[in-house]
Amino acid sequence: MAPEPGKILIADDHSLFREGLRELIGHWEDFRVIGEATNGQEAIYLARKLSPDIILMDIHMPVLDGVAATAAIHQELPQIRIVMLTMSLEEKNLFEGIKVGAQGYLLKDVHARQLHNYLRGVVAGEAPLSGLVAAKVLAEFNDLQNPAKPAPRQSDVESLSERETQVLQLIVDGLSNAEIGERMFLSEQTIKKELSTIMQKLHLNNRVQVAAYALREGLVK
Amino acid sequence: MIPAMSRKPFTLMIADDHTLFRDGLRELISHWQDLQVVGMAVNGQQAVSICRETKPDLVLMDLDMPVLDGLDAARLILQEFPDARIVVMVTSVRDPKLPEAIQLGASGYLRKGDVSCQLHHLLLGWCSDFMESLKEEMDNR
Repeated sequence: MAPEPGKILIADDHSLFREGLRELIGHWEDFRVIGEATNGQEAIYLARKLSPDIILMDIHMPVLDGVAATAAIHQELPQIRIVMLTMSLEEKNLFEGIKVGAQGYLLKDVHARQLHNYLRGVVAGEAPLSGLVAAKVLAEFNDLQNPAKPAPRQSDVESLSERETQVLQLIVDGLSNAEIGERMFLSEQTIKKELSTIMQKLHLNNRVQVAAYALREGLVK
Repeated sequence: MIPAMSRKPFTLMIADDHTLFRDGLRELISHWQDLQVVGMAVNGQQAVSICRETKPDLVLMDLDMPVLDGLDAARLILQEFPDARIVVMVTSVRDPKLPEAIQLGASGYLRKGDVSCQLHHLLLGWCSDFMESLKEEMDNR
């Protein structure tokens, strides 16, 4: 039997966007839309009531915005993965969503196929980044004063193999493990192992940190 | 109720820089047999050229787009095809570009917050001389 399709809640105040997205997702067998919220307050209510696996959350909504709703939902129902949807990378609140617990963010100008791949990644426990978004993450990391986080040493960086550096580049480009595997003719499992080796070598905890660090240190283009 | 029509479907073009919105809208419209999306543009410049190519009955035009925005694109299209029907898509009726769009000849506006059940009727109403042709058809019976 195929696994249960991933349950998606869409929160966006624009009905035409919401309904269109629902149509697009309707073509995918591994996901289904179980609810639609028109503002942040409704999103919280429906998250409690419907326990979705994923919430696609618009940032600007009336009554209660997407960032506030994300914070509330993440605190109460941390198992729900929240992906912020945004019109523009210039969005001021973009990173706020991540800070309060969103898994990642996506631009509304991605193709349905990209959204699908992204959501599959989210379900698999990874949050792929788009290259541009990673750059934004970098800027934010630069702003963060975080003395508690030990910086990787030069020798750590030099210990990366050629293949690991290649993987690093593709992570920054926003590919999921499966996509990186496809590109490098390796299995997804191997890529997963490569990534954990990279994280170990650089003393980092997740993909976002890896991407931000690689960009900041100029390890990748 | 809109009676079943024997005529060919009305043709539409969608111009919006947000792929998910554009593709979703096309999916919604694809359920209605009397409407057909014949072109999709990601910016105003593409909108103008696709309009030349496909001469759609109705253009759905986002106002904020890169390269050439919806206002300038609408202006160019109306200069070349004064009979073109352009409906601008806005997030709010308070969009400052909306009055300008209407002034330069847009046939109407659509709020992105409108629900799709209204959309079908709205689109049919805007498409060509739907109401007149309907009346004519009734008179001829």
